[in-house]
Amino acid sequence: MQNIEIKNLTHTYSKKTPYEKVAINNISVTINEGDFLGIIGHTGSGKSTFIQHLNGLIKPQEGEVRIFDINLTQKKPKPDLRKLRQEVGMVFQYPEYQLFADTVEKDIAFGPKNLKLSQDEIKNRVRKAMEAVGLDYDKYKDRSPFDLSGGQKRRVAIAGVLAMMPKVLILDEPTAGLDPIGKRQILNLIKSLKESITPTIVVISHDINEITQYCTRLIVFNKAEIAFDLPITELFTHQKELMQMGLDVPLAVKVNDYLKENGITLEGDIITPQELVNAIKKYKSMEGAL
Amino acid sequence: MRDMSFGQYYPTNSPIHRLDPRAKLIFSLLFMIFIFFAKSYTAFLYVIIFLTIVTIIAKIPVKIVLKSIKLVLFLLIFTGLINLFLYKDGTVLAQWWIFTITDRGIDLTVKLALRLSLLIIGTSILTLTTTPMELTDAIESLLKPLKYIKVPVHDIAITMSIALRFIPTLLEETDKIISAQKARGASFDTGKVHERVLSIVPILIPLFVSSFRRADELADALDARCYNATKNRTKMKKLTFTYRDLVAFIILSILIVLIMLDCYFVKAPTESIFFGTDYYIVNLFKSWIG
Repeated sequence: MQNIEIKNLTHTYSKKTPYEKVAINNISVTINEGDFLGIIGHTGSGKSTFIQHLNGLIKPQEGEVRIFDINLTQKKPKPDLRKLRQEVGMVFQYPEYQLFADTVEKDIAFGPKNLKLSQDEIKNRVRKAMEAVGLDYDKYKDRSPFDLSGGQKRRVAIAGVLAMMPKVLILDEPTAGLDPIGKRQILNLIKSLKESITPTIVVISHDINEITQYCTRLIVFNKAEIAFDLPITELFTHQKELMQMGLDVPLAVKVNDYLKENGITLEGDIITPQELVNAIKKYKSMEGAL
Repeated sequence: MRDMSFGQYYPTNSPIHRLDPRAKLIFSLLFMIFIFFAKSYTAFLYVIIFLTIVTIIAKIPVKIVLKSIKLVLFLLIFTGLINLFLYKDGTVLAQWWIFTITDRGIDLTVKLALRLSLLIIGTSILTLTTTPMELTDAIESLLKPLKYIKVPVHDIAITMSIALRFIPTLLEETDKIISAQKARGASFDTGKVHERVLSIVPILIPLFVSSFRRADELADALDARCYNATKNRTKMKKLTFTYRDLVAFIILSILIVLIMLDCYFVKAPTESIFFGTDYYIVNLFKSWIG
């Protein structure tokens, strides 16, 4: 099922001034239910502008945007942005900077409250969202969000979005500025969310090693345009082009290529470290059999 | 909000842009003072011709220069109307209740509107052609004599430039926070009055938190680079007066002389703006040229 459909979308900042800048140029994308989509690209390549369209934060200037049955391009009747923001949850970069309430519970309740839900439902959703991000409800609900650690703050902020119960979750650089442990926890959290709460997830990142560990499809932004939109297994056949754009390829892919150059050909698609290890094991056992 | 540019600096390369900012600041002050001596329509014509020439040399589109009036249009209309209806001297042209329109009233209103809009256009040419940083440098340099009476001129200047520097950053931050809260279903333009006022809280608190964090970081960064460890800081861009500033000064002087001559020949100036001091200066001027 197609959740999101975007056709020929173009956006220009500061139009008709000396500061004019084309942020995205003639982009067409469809996002299907169940997609685990990664978006990579340099700073200023248009990633952030693109995802802000998915939440109605930027109105489309040119082109069409349809999300579920909400058409953002239509003028009359006006698209229902409240409903849209309930369906598409957005976690911004450094989401902990949006925390404002004096307790964790109140902060997470901000979204459901805006949806005008009943008290019981709000409480229920806050509890669920906190459990989903791995924070114990009774232990943390009355703490001030400003007293928590960086990783915990971020989980509170993510819970604040999850409490809206979105069908599509978008995360902008969810691991930026965290230590390796915090990073791993957030990555595992995203993986588990995909299975338990939101069926469709879009993640922006510029760490290719990280994003390839869980995404199944990757969109590469380059200079305001989409350079590639491929399943992850096919993307790295375009290694040269990626390198030319100044983007890295995953370490496992590099090692695999290096082995190939030296006459060791491994079998199967190799993108994550785990896949590399498995392929090498297989290679070794076959060598032993010879 | 990202489309909003502070200080309305218009980046091109023109002789006006390259003038010494101190000279530009002084010229603007002179312009502001002497425009109040323009009493006749001929004098206003001189000012308009002068501003047109400056705008052409500065290579700024007329549309952008005129845009600066738009901000004070309300004030212009308001003061204009009060003058028009409540001025009682002169031949009465129309009368209704407490409102009277006289020929002198019309004359006064037109002149007031002209004076205000020309004043604003003149000063906005300063901000259009000078970056905020250049302006603070100029202010610091011009205030230098105050150092002898122990005014911390340099600290004032650096505070000003930091404040200016952080306006776009804070705007961007505000923009991000608004987006994040909107994504959680917040709306700022619906609901009852007290709801709308309260809806600012989720923006203000994160903004304050991040401002304090930034201020802390900036203070540390200044300390780490030994700010204030040496007595006299040197400047990367030294301000120097050149022949260009002299030429500009001569052109401005011509305008001032024309205005003053006109003021001298206009019989019986009608209104005092500076509590009589303007007459004093005019009389002084009269005694000079005999």
